[in-house]
Amino acid sequence: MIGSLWTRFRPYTLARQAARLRSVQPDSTFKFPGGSYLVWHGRVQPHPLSDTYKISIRYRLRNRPKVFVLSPKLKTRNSEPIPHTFPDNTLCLFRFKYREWASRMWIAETILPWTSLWLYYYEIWLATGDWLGGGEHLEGTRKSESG
Amino acid sequence: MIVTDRKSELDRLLLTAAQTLDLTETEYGQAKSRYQAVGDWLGAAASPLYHYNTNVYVQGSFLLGTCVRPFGRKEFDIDLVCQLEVPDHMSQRDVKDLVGRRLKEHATYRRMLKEKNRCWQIVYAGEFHLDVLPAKPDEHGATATAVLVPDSELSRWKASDPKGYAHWFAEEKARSRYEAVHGAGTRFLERAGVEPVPPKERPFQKTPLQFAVQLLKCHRDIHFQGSQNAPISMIITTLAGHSYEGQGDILSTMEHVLESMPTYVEYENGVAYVRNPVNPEENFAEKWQKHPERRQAFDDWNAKAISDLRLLRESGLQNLIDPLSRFLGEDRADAAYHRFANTITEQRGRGLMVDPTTGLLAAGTPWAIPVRKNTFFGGRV
Repeated sequence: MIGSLWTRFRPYTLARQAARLRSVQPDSTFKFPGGSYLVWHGRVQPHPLSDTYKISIRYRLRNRPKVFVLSPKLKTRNSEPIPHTFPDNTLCLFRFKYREWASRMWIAETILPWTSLWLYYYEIWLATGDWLGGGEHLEGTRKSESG
Repeated sequence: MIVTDRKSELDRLLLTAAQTLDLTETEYGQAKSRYQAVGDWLGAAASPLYHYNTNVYVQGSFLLGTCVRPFGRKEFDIDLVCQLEVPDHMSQRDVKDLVGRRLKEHATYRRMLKEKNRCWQIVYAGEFHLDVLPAKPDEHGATATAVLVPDSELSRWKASDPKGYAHWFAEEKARSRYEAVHGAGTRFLERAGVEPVPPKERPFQKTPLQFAVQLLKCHRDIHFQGSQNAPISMIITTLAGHSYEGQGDILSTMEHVLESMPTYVEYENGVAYVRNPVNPEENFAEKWQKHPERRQAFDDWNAKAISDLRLLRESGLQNLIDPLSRFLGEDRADAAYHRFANTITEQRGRGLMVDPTTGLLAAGTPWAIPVRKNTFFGGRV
């Protein structure tokens, strides 16, 4: 009984996450530096009229998967900061509080599609200055983000 | 809505763009009832015009489905023909006055009436300008729909054939459904001699040619900024109609039409002709003789539109507002862009799919998966 519950809620291992990512993008690459976390490199083009982005997802078990955009480099607009990015320039994709993501979810089916969505809204923001993707911000702070 | 490739997305963008130039459903409904009321008034049994077998119908871009929302003012121009079977001895002035007198008998129209050179304009402030042009059947005309209308000096009768032209544009070239549209619903209005306006064509009923003409006319308006040198709409519409070869999308239609259109300007003894296809006597480019700079202006505009379209074609989401605004103006380009971009947002939480192999949103591939709900959270405001 306890065993089956454990199976049900146990996080997917780094290896399984990597295999899943690799299965949706067979040309992608991954490694486990020091055996402690996953680094995956893949490509995303959200829309036929948008750029194709090389991205890197860095995932330490049970932590927030971090998404880096490698190329083309993210641009600011009239020196405004890029919306929904963390200070390390990774993307703010979901809110833990709303249980939108858990380690028992496939990165390939959550983080990856959300990255695409983020990049879509990013390009529209570059064009218009409007972030059409909605979302939330921590109130009264510009630095401390979570999730 | 499924997103596939670059070409079809550019076409969807141009469709959204052209729709910003059109009447809304509400405006269309208003225009229709205004127009029918005017027609009823002119053709009513109590009207002095009744004895002349009055027939009132729409002509011009409203009939062709190529109208362009004007810049800087709210009122669309809608052109009506008031066709009367008047005896030969009645002059252009007589016929125009006859129509004007009847309009002035109406307590409301009287206050909204403006006299123009050859027509009467009823101004619905904030809505429409209804131009009522008197006409009489042309018994010697090439078609059953040929009419004679006063020239701008009211000094002679000029051959015209707006219905024939619409038929040429719709049936022969645009392969549109005007014939069917004309057939339906006409009967109950026959007594008043009023013909219903074509039901507002929905995007799927309109052909790429009509959208292309709307966008080209608007590009012209922006390019010329009110200059007299701008080619008249009939020149653009006619040359576009000749050039169109049944392309199935707006982008290819615009490209092909722009490239071919100068080759349909005919020259005889150094005089440029853009003939009315249903009345070869009428040269839409007549004024180019007196103003040769207008012919050059046409060529310059044509070249500019080609290069602007190329720029649009090569642009992406990040930078296509600029080339788009050359066809729509800045405000409309911005509105069209937002509407275009929002079609993906509207699908979020309602089955938006993504192809995980490429990241393509709104993908229709069999291996596409739903995008789960997410909240972009945190980051710099």
